[in-house]
Amino acid sequence: MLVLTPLLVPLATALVCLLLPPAWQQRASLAGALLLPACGLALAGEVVSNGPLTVVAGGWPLPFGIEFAADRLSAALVLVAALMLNVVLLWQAGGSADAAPAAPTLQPLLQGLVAGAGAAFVTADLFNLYVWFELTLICALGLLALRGGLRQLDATLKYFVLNVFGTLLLLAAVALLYAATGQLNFRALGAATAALPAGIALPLLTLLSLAFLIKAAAFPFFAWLPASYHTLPAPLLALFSALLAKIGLYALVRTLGAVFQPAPDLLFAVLGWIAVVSMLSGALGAAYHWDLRRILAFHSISQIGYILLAIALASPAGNAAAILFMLHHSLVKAALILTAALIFHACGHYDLRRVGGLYAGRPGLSLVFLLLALSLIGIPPSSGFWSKFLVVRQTLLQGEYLWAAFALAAGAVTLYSMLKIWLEAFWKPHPDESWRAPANDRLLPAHAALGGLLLLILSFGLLPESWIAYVMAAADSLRGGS
Amino acid sequence: MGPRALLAEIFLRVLHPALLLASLWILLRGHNAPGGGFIGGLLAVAASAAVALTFTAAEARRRLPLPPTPLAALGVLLALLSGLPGVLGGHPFLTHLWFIVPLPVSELPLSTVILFDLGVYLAVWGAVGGFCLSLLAAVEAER
Amino acid sequence: MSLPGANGGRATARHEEMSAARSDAPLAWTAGASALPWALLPASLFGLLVGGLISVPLPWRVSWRWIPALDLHFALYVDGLAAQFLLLITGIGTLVAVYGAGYLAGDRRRWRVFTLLLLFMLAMIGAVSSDHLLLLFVFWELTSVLSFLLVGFDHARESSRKAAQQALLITGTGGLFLLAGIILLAEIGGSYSLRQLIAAAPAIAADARLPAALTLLFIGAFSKSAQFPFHFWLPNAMAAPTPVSAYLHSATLVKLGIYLLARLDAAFSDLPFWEYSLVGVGTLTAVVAAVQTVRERDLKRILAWSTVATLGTLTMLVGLPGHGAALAVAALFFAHALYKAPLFFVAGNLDHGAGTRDIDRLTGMRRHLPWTAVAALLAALSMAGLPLSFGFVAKDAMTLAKVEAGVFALVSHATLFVGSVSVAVAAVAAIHIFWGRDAADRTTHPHEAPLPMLLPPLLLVALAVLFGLRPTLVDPLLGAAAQAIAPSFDPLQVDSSYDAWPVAEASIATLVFGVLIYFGWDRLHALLDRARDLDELGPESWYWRKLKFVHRLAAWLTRRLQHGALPGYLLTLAGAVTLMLLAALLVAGAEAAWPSPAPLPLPVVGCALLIAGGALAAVLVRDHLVLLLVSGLVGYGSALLFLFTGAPDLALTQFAVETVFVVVAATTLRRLRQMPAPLPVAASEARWRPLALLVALAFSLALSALLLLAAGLPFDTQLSDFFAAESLPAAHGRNVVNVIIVDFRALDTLGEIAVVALALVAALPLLRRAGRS
Repeated sequence: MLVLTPLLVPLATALVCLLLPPAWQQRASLAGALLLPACGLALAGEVVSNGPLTVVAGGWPLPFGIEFAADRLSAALVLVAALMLNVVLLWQAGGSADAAPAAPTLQPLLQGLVAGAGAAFVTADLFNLYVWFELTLICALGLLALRGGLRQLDATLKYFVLNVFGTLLLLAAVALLYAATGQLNFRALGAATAALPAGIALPLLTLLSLAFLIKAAAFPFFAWLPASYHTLPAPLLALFSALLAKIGLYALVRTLGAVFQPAPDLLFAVLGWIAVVSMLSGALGAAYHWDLRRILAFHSISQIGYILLAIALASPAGNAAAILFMLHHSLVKAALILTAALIFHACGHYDLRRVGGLYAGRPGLSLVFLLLALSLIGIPPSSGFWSKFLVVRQTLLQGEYLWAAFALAAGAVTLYSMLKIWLEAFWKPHPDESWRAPANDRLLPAHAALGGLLLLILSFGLLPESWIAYVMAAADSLRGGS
Repeated sequence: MGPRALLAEIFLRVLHPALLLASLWILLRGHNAPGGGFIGGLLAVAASAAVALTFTAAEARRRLPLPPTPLAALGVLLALLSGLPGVLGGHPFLTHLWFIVPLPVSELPLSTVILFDLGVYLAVWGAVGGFCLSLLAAVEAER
Repeated sequence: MSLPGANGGRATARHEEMSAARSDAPLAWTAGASALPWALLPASLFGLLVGGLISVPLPWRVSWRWIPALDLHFALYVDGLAAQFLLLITGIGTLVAVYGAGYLAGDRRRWRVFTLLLLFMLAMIGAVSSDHLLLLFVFWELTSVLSFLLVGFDHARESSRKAAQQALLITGTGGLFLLAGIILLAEIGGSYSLRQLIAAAPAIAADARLPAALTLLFIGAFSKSAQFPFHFWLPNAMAAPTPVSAYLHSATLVKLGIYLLARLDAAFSDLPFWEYSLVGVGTLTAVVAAVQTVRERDLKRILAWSTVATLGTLTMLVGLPGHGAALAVAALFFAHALYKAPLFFVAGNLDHGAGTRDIDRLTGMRRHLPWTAVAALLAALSMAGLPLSFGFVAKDAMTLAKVEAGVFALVSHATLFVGSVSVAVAAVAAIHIFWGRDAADRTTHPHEAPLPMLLPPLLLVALAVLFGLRPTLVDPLLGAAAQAIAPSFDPLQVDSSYDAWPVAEASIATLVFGVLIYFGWDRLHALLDRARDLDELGPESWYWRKLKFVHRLAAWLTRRLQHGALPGYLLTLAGAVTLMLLAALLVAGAEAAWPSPAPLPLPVVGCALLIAGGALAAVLVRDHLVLLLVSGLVGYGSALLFLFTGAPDLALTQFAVETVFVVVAATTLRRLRQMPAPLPVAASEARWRPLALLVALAFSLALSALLLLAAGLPFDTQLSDFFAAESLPAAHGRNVVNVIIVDFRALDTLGEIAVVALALVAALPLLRRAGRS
């Protein structure tokens, strides 16, 4: 039953919220949100001490029923989702600093999104995975449209069209794989695919990977992400950045890294180059933009490139690096977006050309941004450094010097674009000389949310042993785990 | 009362309940013959849409057992809950339980499957119906 | 091209700003005293270190568990070289804190500087004590970041921000190279421990990847230690407050690169690649910097360039083989810290007391700043390498090293030139500024600096003189450091290695040339000023061009990728997917078994035609209502297909969905008073059309091919057989489809109805808004 909680707890919360009057929604949502990390922790504890946890819905024998299986990777990502949900709710409690409008549909959609993500992380059935992709897509669309402005609707449309294309591609891939193998359960599907003629496995897995790459916002499929993310309220943007592309990346790790092992080498070679171009184009996009949210969105694409590079290495150490990088990026990117929201709160703008003076005016915020930015750039000892180190080291060890060189070049551009934020928002005097940082009223929940996230990130950076050991074990158990 | 209004009255009094009953029948027989929650739900939607087209969307909405969104949510929740009795009995989630009640003539199979399918029925009725009614209401407002 | 406002004018503008923030002398005293606690930490560390060096023999080792998963331990190892650095870091750190207390008295932001300086000191301590290369890298990067914050202290000025940005971009990017180099080196040598790498040197030297690893390491070290072609960031970093400059650029930050090279010298000094690279780059750096020195008029920038020249010399010395070179490196490290820090302090005192650092306006200061003059004179003595100073000892060691190594004549001449410029700079700093003719028309009233700003330079120059008179006092220290650089070096031979004659010869030559340069300074300056156009070819203008290039590339690429038009996005997406799919099919196609077409049942063909016709018509028609009806054809066609292929439930559901959809949508459309005009084709959309058609055809081709391939395989009916067999006995239902939906795969159904319900929730606000508007 524990393995089903990542789906059932948020889904039931979403439904209960829909049945309750608006006044009670927030409380019900909070109760569900608080229960989720407890379930995640219990799941992780169980998985770590007793190995992967599985259940087949309806008690049917495999491969006939739908299996949910949680290993270390699933548990870690479920915990990230649970954490981010609580961060969002905490931030919303203050109601300021670019919070989402308190619409009656907000809580159900939030919980629905997390339910879809959580279920995607634990399901061990390819069609079922598609269902959870759909659930997250629908909820994401609802959240995007929440503010209802023209910009939001335009963003929603772009997000919808491009993502539905990806979802349909996934459906086609699932159907074709089923047609070719007659299986949907991961383990049975993996075994059946391995027995397929080589000429069919490659195009089928290509189709599947392409669907996931669209979800993961890799080059050249990423247009939906920077076209829509900047229109979101800050806490939702943080949640989206932490979770949505990760589902695609997770699916790639799960399928290419475990289910369909050994997948064709050619697939990984192409994936490596996709990763390289993602890293570079994302970093360059970030260097080009002036809107904080757009800069951070493009950084996501660059960081997704690093994760893809690690997956493309097709080795347990590469997968471990990918998982660590996913955890790091979820936490740090979310925290950076919330920091940007505080910059917005202080200066009234996300545009770097219209903000400034925060080093003197908001020293605490400066320190927070600095620590997070250093982590994103990969300055040690930070979560970003350990993640990047694992990726670059493994790339070098596997002799992919060119990929490593590009990864480092992207790192330099990332450094440049983060410096730009620092110089413009913090060091540059505010363009309006009469500007004074406003009072920090009603920001306590926001500060608490960001502070908690920051503490976690700092402990990750300073004491990474347990994190690294965890992801290494997670990567090792990937093949045997599901 | 003109003939048009009379027809409408007949429709409301007779046809609408009949359609709903038919949808329920389709739902219940689904386990053994073509039918089930999805089709039954869609038929119920058709009944609601017919009311909305004949009268107004608001009238159709009044004739729903619950407003569309809670109706749909209740359906999904029912489906979810139908998986729990099995868990209490030590089985995996969504393991359906069957109680065969012997009757003088035949026997009455009661099971959590019916609850699940009823959940599907309500979810489809509430969601698709709600969608149609909102769309029609928007059109009415436009006029 | 140079930084805006990098020259001349900066000195005065900066002073005005500083004096606005600074109060009068009496207040400076109390503020200075209150800042003194900041000196306590470095001072006590220094005391501990000295005590430790006296009582506990080197090397010291300590190691804590940190990240066993990466085999990364918090492993510290202090030998002679590290000890020398630690003494300089903590000792000069103490003096800088004292000096800063005076210099920044009354500046509200001084706490920030002191905090950063202390953190910086700790990072430096960590960097030079680390045995694990990754640990060293951690501290290395921290020093880069902290120095960035220190250089940008005056962040309201754009030139400060640019200088800080430049410093971090160069050292940070260099750090990335260093990381790659460390990883490769550790992979080659099988360990991240410096000790173990040095022990495994012979095996490492044979590896073909070593030159690549070393090149990466060089780039990292050179960028940190301001070697050509990365040297230009250091003079620009003079935007930092003077105490910071004194600390970072005399004893600490910029020496870190050289420190790493000196560390690895024990492993690689025999490699020709090592020697030629270091001697070549070091010499080039020294010469370039010496020339640049003469071009400056700002005392601080003069000192900065002469620092770069010394760093070049140090790199060259590290590259030279032999024991003499090891000793020379240790001696020059020490001597440079002892004279360069006081000279920076002197520059700060002049800035503080006379309001300028422009050497044209600074003459005859002896009468106004007598104690500063003493410090300047003695420091200059050491810098010029004259007898009675520690600089003389260092010069002695350098000359011997060059003799021992038998350097090329070119290198020898170059060092002579660099030494001469040093002499000239020393003369400018001491003689020109303090003993030159006092300008009569002075508008400001220069005054001596307060005690906290005098003690540190005086103390350091006193030490330099002391060690110059009694070199044996530091012999053990230098010997231990030299032994760390060249393990076969015998510390006891330090004393005997002094040899007066070649030194005297070299000293006289540099002195003569130095005096010539000093007197010809203005003419040289004017001459070099005319060669300004050559700067366009230099590395700094290359840096600015690259930065601009990255800007342009980023703008060009991003505008093309993120143009904002949805049809374009979709086209890119579908096009890329299609290309990759086709490529995969082509690669795999040769091995694939293409099925021979089997005749299809007539009803199926009919349904397929219906669906295809509907889809095609949907693309072509313009009218909304017609569009709705033809798209209904696709749905009904699918429903029929389900019916003919034995899935009546699906067919029924599809019929119901399609009917409800068509009826409601048609009603909606019909009821809208004015039918919307046929879909307008936006100009931008029309532009995409031909390409879109091509992509659509290719995409359907690829998908069809894939479908054929998959359909060509014998279908595994394991799942459907099980469902059919178990439906009634195990799940109590005769309708297999329904049993699958509600039982076998009920979890999918739960997900789907959740999607349906939440789709309504997501869409409701939009529908309501549509209703309201």
